[in-house]
Amino acid sequence: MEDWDIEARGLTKNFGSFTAVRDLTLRVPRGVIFGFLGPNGSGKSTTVKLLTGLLTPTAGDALIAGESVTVENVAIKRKIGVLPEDDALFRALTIWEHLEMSGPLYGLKREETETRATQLLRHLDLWQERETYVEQASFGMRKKCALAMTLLHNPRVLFLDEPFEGIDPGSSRNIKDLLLMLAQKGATIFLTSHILEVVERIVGQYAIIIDGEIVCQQTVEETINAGRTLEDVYFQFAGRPAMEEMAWLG
Amino acid sequence: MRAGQLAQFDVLILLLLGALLIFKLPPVMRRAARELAIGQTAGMNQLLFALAAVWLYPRIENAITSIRPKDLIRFPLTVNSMLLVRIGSFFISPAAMIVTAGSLLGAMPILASPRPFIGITAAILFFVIAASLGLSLSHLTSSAALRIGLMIVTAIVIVPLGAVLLASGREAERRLASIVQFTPIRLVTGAATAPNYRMALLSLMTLTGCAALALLSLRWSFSRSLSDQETNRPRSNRAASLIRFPGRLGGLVRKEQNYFRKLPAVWIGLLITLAYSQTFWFGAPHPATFQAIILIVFSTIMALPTNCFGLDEPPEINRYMLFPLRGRDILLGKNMGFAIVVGLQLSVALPFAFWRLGWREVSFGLIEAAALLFAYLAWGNLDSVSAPYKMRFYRESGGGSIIDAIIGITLCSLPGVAIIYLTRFNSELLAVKLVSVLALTALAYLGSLHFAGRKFERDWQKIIYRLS
Repeated sequence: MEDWDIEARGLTKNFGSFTAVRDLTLRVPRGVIFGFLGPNGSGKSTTVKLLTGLLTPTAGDALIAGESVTVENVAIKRKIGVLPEDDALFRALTIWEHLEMSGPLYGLKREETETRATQLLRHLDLWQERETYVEQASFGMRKKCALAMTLLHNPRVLFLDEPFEGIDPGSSRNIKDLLLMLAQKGATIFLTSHILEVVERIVGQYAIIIDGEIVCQQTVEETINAGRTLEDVYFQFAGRPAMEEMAWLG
Repeated sequence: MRAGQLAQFDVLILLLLGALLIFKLPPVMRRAARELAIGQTAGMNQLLFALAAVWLYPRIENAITSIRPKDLIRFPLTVNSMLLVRIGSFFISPAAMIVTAGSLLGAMPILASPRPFIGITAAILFFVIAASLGLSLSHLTSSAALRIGLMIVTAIVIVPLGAVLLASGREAERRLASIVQFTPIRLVTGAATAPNYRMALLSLMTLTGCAALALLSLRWSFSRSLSDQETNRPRSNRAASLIRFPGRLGGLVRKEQNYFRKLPAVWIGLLITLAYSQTFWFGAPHPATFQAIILIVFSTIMALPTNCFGLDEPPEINRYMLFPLRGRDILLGKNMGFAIVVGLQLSVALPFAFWRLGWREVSFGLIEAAALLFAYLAWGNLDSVSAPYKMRFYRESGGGSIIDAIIGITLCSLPGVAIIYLTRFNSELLAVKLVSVLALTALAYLGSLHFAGRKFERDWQKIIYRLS
């Protein structure tokens, strides 16, 4: 029997009469980097919120390592690291203060927190900016800060919503290497991204969600063996917006 | 939601002005009119002083409705155009309209003066000065350096002034009247009661000059606030974090301190204790005043415990939910942050109280403070998760329900009032009674922590929705 770290069973989320996610079922085995793809507004971030307890499903279950995800389940929260869509940072704290705050909440001692925080910030090229307040930080700096918080307690399962968005190429490369290393060590990573080339290079499996429903789920190996690229598969399902002729532009 | 907050704020202003209109304003206006008719100005001076305070106090620059400089900076507008939009948006608020109408009504006694039209013109110029200075003050708060400067100036002016007035007792009104002589208020009443046109016009010209200066300061502070929005990227100030709290929740407590110190109410409470502390130099005050000050300090910062999520943006509440914490842990972190802030505010007066009143009175004060702390947190936790409203840094909060505020301040002050009563008028078995009050409030707090914690876990998405 396969060891599933992330499992969604018939996950559905309605906002009034609008269904953001419909009967979503998926399983992510341990140690896999799983790419979750789809156009804007397709339900990716809602799915991440449902899988991490930030939204309560209208129907269905979300499980992490076999345990149900609920607001009260503190033990599950210790096992996961989440980089949410909005970064979820405190605007009047510095980058360093975020990490200082985060470590002890996950049971890390102050010295351990400081050692890990220092290494993470250096790896993400954020060390020089550690005393910057989040509300004064750039988009990329905030993203890196949130990523450092996600990794600080060495979680077993990672949920990364657009981890490469707004990140400079050097740091992006470092993050990719870090994620591959984590997966090799047994961490499970669920990530959303619009940068298909990056996703193709690092993920083992992927799913495409359109209008709240999964329309395709396979391994990258299966895609390559079929002589196709991730981009081919993506456009097959997601299509491409029509081009307007805007003579007035330019 | 925004409409609801606006309505609540207006209700507050309407209630205050309504109460003033019904109970206080008619006799004060009649007195002022009678006095002005015979060339006396004391009543009108007081009335104008009160109206100026309403105009000056940044609360009427309703944070929710008026357009902030940083909202304007992206538009292709000149600084003068942006300033006009800003001033215009300020008057969109019904609260500001009510204050304007109330001020014009309050100036009516001037019609009974020897020079009514010059007097009314002078009063309008005076309101322009007060409004310009009020808006300038709110602009100055957008820069960290200017905020500190403003705070120092306020402390230098308010603390000795407050100390003198507090120490004056029944003489306070007379001293206040003599202080008013040195403000533009004197020019308004001077213009209205001048013995000849030449003197009246001189007062009017001087007021016009003051108004021009106030408008220039408004223009300068506005353009300064725009440039601060663009260039200011402050680095952390570790000394500013009041205390580094140890333990698992230490980071959360520090976060609360960082947020609380950006609220004017916290500094107003500190100024009150500072001013009160200075009265000890004049002699030992009545011990009940020490207890009363503790009661007042808690009431000035009531929004902190009773709306403890008000300063959090929705993503920040998401972060709480990502942390491996229960709802009660999150509230406990916020409660500890508040306890430290109020503790620091009150600690300013403690050495002086020891010096003049002795350890017994200080002990009573500490017990009262502890009971008030538990009471405010007990009520505040429940209120925070039931009726949160948005608050902004460097602004007074005006979005809460007035009924909640009245119930809250009454209930939360009860233990303090009870302790004042017991220590002053009912000293039999005092220790037992004091411990009982303390134990009851502590139990109420523990109960509220549990229930509010559970409610937060159930309703946190509703809280986010209300703060959005």
